[in-house]
Amino acid sequence: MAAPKTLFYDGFWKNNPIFVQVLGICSTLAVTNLLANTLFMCFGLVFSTAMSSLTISLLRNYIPDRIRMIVQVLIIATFVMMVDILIKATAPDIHRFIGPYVGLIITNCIIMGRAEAFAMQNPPGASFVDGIAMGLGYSMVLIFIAAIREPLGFGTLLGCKLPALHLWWHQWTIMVMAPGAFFMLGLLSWFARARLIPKGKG
Amino acid sequence: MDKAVAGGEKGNGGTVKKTSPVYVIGFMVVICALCGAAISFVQFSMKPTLDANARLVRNRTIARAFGITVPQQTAGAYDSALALRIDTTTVADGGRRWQLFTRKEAPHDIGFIFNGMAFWDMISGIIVLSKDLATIRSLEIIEQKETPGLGARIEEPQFKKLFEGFPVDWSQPADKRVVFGEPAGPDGTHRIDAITGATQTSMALERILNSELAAFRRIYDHHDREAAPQPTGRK
Repeated sequence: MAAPKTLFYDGFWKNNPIFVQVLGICSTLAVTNLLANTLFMCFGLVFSTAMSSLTISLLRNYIPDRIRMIVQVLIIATFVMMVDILIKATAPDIHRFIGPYVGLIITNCIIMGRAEAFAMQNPPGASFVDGIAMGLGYSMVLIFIAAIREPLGFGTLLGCKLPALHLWWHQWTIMVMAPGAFFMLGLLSWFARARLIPKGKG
Repeated sequence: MDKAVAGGEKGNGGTVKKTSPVYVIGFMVVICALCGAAISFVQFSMKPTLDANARLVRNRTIARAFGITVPQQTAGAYDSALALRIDTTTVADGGRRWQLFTRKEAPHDIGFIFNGMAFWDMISGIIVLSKDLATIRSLEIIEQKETPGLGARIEEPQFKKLFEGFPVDWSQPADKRVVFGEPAGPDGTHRIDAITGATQTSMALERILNSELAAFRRIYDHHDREAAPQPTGRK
């Protein structure tokens, strides 16, 4: 079994779910025009991925093979619904915007992929670290995109107006819309894969 | 534990096989019960906060629809502001209880909460009309679950702005008082631009608004309400 540090590095960077595995793109495009929305979405995904990987790993020897995917979805849905309720209670205004996407975490390829590919074959500790790493790897990309889109689209960062806006700022409407995220994600992926992420052999 | 189940899968040692229907059904029942209990626990724990948030959203939307500014963004502040400036009347009509809101000071606008099934789920909101019911002052959405980026754009200011000052022609048939898309008459009045890419939501909202306006007018005309201003439009 790989060391936690290696697992974390793999999930967060080397096999980053967005740059390398190209998973979770829907929410990457949808919730990154405001950083506050992005942070809540990232919290939801990290929590759901880590907890569902841990739970599935704990139960992996008891889950009947033929219904394993149903059970995985059920467990993932439980944690996603918990997150949904928590966000609705703590940040109702943000929930109005990201609520539909929080629900869609259930079908997020990252969680289901890690549950099936990793948590079903590995012990709980490693699965938990893998879930956290994958969630944080996803969050890093989303936060980076949001930190560029929000200032260009709204002239704010975390809702606070940037200084001397009248001197330098002109709204990039495209950054408020999904195509802005497409361009950002494309550029970032290209740069990360070409220059930053180590290439695997073969 | 792991070994016992692994043994069970092979059918040794008297343990239940993981492939047996009894095990599969039993496992699903247990896991469903546990997951259901966990969600219920979280929902129950958060219920007071969720209720307070729902009240805040509702009252804030009503205040916004009537153009009432409340400095403090708390449920209590909105409760006080609405109690001070809005008269609320509840009218029972069939199985439904309507809440009607009247601004206490001039111009004595009248509002009501509308509900209806849209494309994905229920939409609720508030319509504020002028005292003579001839003009829509504003429309605000309290809750909707339409497609983000498409149908959910009914919450966007530029769409809601289309309703400000919208004339309601009560002489038109009940389903033609608010028309989305095609003009109702040669002059193009009584129509609202539909949302591109959200035809189903636009059609649903059109249906909901027409049906709720007709129902509101009916109960407004037929129920005795204290200090109710008399509308001037035709039925």
